[in-house]
Amino acid sequence: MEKLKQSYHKNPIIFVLLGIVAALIIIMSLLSPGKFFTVDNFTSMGFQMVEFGILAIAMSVTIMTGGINLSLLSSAMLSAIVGALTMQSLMAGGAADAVTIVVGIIAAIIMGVICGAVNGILVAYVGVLPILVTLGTFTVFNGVALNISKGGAISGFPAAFQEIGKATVGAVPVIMLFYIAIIILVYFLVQRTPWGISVYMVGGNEKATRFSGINTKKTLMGVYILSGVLCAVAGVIMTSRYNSAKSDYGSAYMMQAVAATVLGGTAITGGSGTVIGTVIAVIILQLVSSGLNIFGMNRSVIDILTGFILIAALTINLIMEKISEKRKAEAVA
Amino acid sequence: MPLHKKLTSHREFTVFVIIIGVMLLLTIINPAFLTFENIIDILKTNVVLGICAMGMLFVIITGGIDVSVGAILATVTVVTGTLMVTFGIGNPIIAFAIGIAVGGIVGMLNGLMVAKLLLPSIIATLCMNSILNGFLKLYTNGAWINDIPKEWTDFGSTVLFGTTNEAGVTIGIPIQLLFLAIAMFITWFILKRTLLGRGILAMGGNSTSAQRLGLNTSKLTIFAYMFLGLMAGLGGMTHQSIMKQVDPNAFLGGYELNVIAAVVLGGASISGGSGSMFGAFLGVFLFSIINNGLTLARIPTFWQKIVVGCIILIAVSIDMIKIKMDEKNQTKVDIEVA
Repeated sequence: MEKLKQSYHKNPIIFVLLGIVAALIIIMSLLSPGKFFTVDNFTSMGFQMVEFGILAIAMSVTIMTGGINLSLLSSAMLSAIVGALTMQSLMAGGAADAVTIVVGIIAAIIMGVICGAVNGILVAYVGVLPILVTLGTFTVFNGVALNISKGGAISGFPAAFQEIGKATVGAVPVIMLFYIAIIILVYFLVQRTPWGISVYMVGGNEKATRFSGINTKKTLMGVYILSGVLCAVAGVIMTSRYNSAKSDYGSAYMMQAVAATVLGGTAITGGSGTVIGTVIAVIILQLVSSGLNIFGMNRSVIDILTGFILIAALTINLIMEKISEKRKAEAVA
Repeated sequence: MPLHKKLTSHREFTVFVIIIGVMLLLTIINPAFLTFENIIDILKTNVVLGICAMGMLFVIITGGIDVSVGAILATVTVVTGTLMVTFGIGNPIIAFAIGIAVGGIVGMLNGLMVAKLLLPSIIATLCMNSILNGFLKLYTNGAWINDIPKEWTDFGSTVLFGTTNEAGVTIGIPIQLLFLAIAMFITWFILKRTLLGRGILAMGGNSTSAQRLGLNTSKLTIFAYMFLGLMAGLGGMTHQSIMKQVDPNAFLGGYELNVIAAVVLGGASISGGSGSMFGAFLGVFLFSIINNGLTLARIPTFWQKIVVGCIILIAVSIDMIKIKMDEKNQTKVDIEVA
C-alpha cells in the first residue's frame, strides 16, 4: 500500500488514466451488454491497438525531446513498401518462405533507420526545427513511396507472413506479445539508461544539456532513428494485417499518435512523459473508437473526437499548471 | 549603402536571381514557356496558393505555423457551395462575403487556441485540421457539389482587358488575378504601413520585448491567424470561381505544405520576426514555375512531390545555416570588441 501511494505521488497522471480506462470499460459494457465486454471484442481491439501503439511510442520519444515526428506514417509506409517489394521479388525468385520474410523485415527496418537518420541529421546536425524537417520529409518519403509502389497496393507475400498479423496464442494476438516486448524495450532504453536520461534533459533544456558535457546531437540522432525503426516495425505489422502495403495506409494515426502522447502526460514542449502513460492513452483512444464502432458511428466522428480530446487534454494541462503555480506562489508568500 | 550592396543584402534579391535563372533554363528547354499566355496561366493556376501565402506570411512572422489551411479552404468551398445550391445564391458579393466570413471565423478559433489556451500552433491547427476534415467527410461523404448558379460561374470566367485574337480565343487577365493583387496590396499595406503590422513583426522578433513595449501580443496573435483565415476564405472563393464546382477533397494531402514552402522560399524566417509580402510572392512564383517546369519537362507527378519536399528541406536548412553563421559572426565581433 505504501509503495502504491509513493508511485501515485510520483506519477499521478498514470492513475488518472487507469481510472479513465476502468470507467470507459464499465460505461461501454453497460451501454452495449453482450457486445463490448466479450473476449472477441477484446481480441479484436488487441489486434488494432498494436500498430497504433507502436506508432504512438515512436511519436512520444520525439516529443520527449521537445520535437515531433510528422513523418511518422510516411516513414512507416515507405519502410513497409520497401519490405513488401523485397519480399515480392524474393518470392518471384523462388526463395524459401522463411528467408523471404526475414529478409523483407530486415529491409523494412533498414529503410526505417534511413528515414530516422535523415530526420535526425536535419534536426540534430543542421539544427532545423523538427516540425519543419518532418513536414518536409513527410512529403519526400511519401513521394518516394508513391514512386516505387507506382501509387498502388503491393501484395503477394508468403502465406506465413500473413499469419504474423493473424495468429493468436489462446485469445492473445501474437503481435500483442511483440508490442509488449517493444514497450518493455523502449521503457528500459528511455527511462532506465543514461542515454534515456539525456533524452529528457535535451527536452528540458537543450543548451544547458550541451554545456553540461552531453553530446546532444547524438542523443537527438538516436531518438529519431529509434522513432524510424519503430515506424518500420508498425509498417511491417500493418502490411501483414492488411496483406498489402500502400502509401496512404493508416494516415489517421498521425493525429491520434500526437493525441495519445499528450493525453499520456508527455508535455508537448518536451522534457517529461512516460512510455507507460502513452501506452495507457492508446488503450483509452482504442476503447473510445471501438465503442463508437459498436454504436455504429461513422469513422469521421473519431477524427473529430480525437481533435477535441487533444484540445481538452492540453487545456486541462494548462489549467492544472496554472493552479499549481498559484499554490507555489502562495506557499512562498 | 551602395545600391548593389543594398540589393544583395535582401533575401528577395537571391530569390529573384534564382527565378530569372529558372525562367531562362525553362525557356531554353521549351520556348513555349516565356509567353504571355503561359505566364498568365501559371499565375492563374497558383492564384489560390498566392492568396493563402499572404495569410501564412503573417502566421509565420509571429513564429507560428498553420497546417489547417487546406481544411479551411475545403470548408469554405463546401459551405458556400452548399448555400449557393440550396438557396440559389449566385451573387458574387454575397458569396465572397460568406466565404471570407467562414474562413475568418475558423482562423479566429485557431488564433484563440494559440493565444488564449496557449496551445502550440502546430497542435492547435492540427486539431482544427482533423476536426474540419472529419466534419467535411461526415457531411459530403466525398461527393462533389455541382449545379452552382450560372451567375457565379459566369462571374468566374470574367476576363479583364480581354482581346480576342484571330483564333477566336479571348486573351486577357482573368479576374482571379485581381483577387491576388488585392490580397497582396492589403498584406503589404498592413505589414508596412500600420501599427498592427509593425507590431506583429516586432512580436515575432521578440515576444517579451514587444510585450514590454506595450503591445497586446495575444490580440496580435489572434489577428495573424484570423488574417490567414480571411485569406483562406478569399482563396477558397477564388478557387471555386475557377473550378465552377466543389470537390471536398481538392485540398487534401498536404496543400498547406505548399503554402508553407512558398512562404519559406520567399525568405520569411520560420523562427519568426522577418518576412515580406514581396518575398512571399516571389516564393510563390518560384514554386509555381518549378512545378510548371516539371510538367513541361514531363516529369511524373509522383516526382513532383519529392521535389517539393526537397525544396522545403533545402530552404529551411539554408535558413538555419545562415542564422548559425550570423550568430558565429556576432560572437567574433564581441570578442574583438573585448
